[in-house]
Amino acid sequence: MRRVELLLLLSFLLFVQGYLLGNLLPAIMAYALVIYITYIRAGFRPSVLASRHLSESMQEGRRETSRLVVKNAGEADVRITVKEKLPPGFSAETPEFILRRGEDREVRYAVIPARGSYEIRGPMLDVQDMRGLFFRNFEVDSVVRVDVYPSLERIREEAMAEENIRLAEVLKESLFGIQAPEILFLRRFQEGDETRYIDWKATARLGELIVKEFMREDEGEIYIILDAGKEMRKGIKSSKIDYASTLALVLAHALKKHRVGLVVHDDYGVLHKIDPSRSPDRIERMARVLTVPPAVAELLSVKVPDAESHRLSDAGRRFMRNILPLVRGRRGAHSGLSEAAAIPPTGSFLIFITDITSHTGELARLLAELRSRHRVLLVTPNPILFYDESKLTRDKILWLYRRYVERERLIKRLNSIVPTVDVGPSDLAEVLRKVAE
Amino acid sequence: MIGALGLLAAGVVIGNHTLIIAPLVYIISRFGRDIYLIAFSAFCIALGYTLELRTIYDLNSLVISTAIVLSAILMLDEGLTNRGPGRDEFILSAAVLTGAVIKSVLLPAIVLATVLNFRRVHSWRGAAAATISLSIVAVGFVVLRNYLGLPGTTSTQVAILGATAVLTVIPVWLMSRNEGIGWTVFELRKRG
Repeated sequence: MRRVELLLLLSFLLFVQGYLLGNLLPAIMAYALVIYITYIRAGFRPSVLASRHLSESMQEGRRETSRLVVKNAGEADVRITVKEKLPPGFSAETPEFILRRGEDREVRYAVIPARGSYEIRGPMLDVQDMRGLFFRNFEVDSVVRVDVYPSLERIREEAMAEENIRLAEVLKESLFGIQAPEILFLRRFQEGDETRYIDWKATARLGELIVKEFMREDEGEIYIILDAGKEMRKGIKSSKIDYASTLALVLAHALKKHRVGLVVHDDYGVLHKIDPSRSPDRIERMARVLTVPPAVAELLSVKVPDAESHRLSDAGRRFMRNILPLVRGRRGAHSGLSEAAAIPPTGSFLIFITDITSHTGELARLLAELRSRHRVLLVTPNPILFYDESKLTRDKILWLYRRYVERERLIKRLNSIVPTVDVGPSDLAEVLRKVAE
Repeated sequence: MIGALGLLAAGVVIGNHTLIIAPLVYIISRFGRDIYLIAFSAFCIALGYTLELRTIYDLNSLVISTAIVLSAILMLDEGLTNRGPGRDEFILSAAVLTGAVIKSVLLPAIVLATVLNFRRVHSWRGAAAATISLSIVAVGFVVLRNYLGLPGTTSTQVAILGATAVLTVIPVWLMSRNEGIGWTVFELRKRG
């Protein structure tokens, strides 16, 4: 029901009351009400002029200010409510204010955007008379093309979703959950054995609990193949190699019941090799080996347009990349990975810890070849999560976002070959917890 | 506020208890327009049972009835607008309250307050419609006095007022139906 309808209904009831009761006062009251409504309605002829200003570049989740300049060109005071027509995911305040006759005002209110590119039209102004009986809508003539970039926080959250949890799940499935169906032998039940492996037929026959012992596929060795190449060593405050080294040690410790070895390589060859063993001192030996100095660089992975240019040209770099390994007596660039992957015997479980952006093609080919002989897991530190927040500017966030999108495509491509996990600095605790479970 | 005080003053003059609760009805406007409309509607219907005007030709009764009706409309408008009293309102309020003591001051004060209040709307079309309608009513009642002045013609007088009200509304609505004006929806919620 509308307010005016209520007043008209009241008029009608008062007329009926007056007619039935023979009383003129309600009729006069009803007549006055009708005149009142007519007078107000006839006087409501709003005219509002408005323009809206909105930033064309925003950051996701951050409050942006929309500036609305509005003028009351009508003959009476009005009450205005601003209603934004925004794309899904956006939210905005709904300011309400009174505008006197002839007054103009600037109204600022917050808009919280969602990621993407949008064409945002002007807001709707709901203009009411001061009595709240009538209204008219005015659409602000404004179309703004807006690009909303993701916040670094959001990039981190998304990078840590799902695929990171898969790290430990994949580990568990690969190492601890898979059992060949073939029964190796039967033995007496011991404390700690799982009840699902109880052989009930044998138990009934022998009168004591008997469990099945399966042939385990993970009797094979585990190799952690750590990339200590130039891309991994980039960084000032925290390079990927620092994290990767810690991760390698954590994995070695978590897998202490298995025979775990370590192979460290750079872009040109194998630097260190520790054979698989279960010896208690293997962690210390690995730690001594994993003292790789970081390569000082402001940015990770790809150059930015405003980087310093005292470098070789693209052609020069390609030449050096091809020539230098030959001068050093190597087979070619990025042979370190191939050399490292050739060390583990067939049937081993390989955990690659490497940056996927520096030699993606070779890595993909190698993994496709290895998966037929080994079980493989690829762990890759996400450079975006290692980025120094204090150095962030709007341009760099845009650049990071583009790299993030490219990286997502790479991860998907590699995931189709072997399980691939994208990790960041804060994933360590989660990995520890999951592996410990 | 002035409308509520006018009703209060009229209640004091004629000794009607229903009119004396008008300020309480006005206070309800602080809680929301919609609940205020309901309270006002109930108040008006209650007035119809407690006050009586048999004929428009009883001038003394007509004067006090006019003061009551104008005060009620003023109270309705003030409640819907929710505008705080200004300096003019305090002066007029004093004049209206004086009407409780000096009866002849009441109607002029109410009429003046009504005119000053609705002057803000700037509705020349509305003023024209109201003037024409009132003129029709006045002329009709004057011309038909010999017939409508007889006892038992109250319902006829009511019907004439009703017909005039309808004839007043229709042209204005017809003129303004293409202006894109909507009616606000009634919903019970707190103001603001």
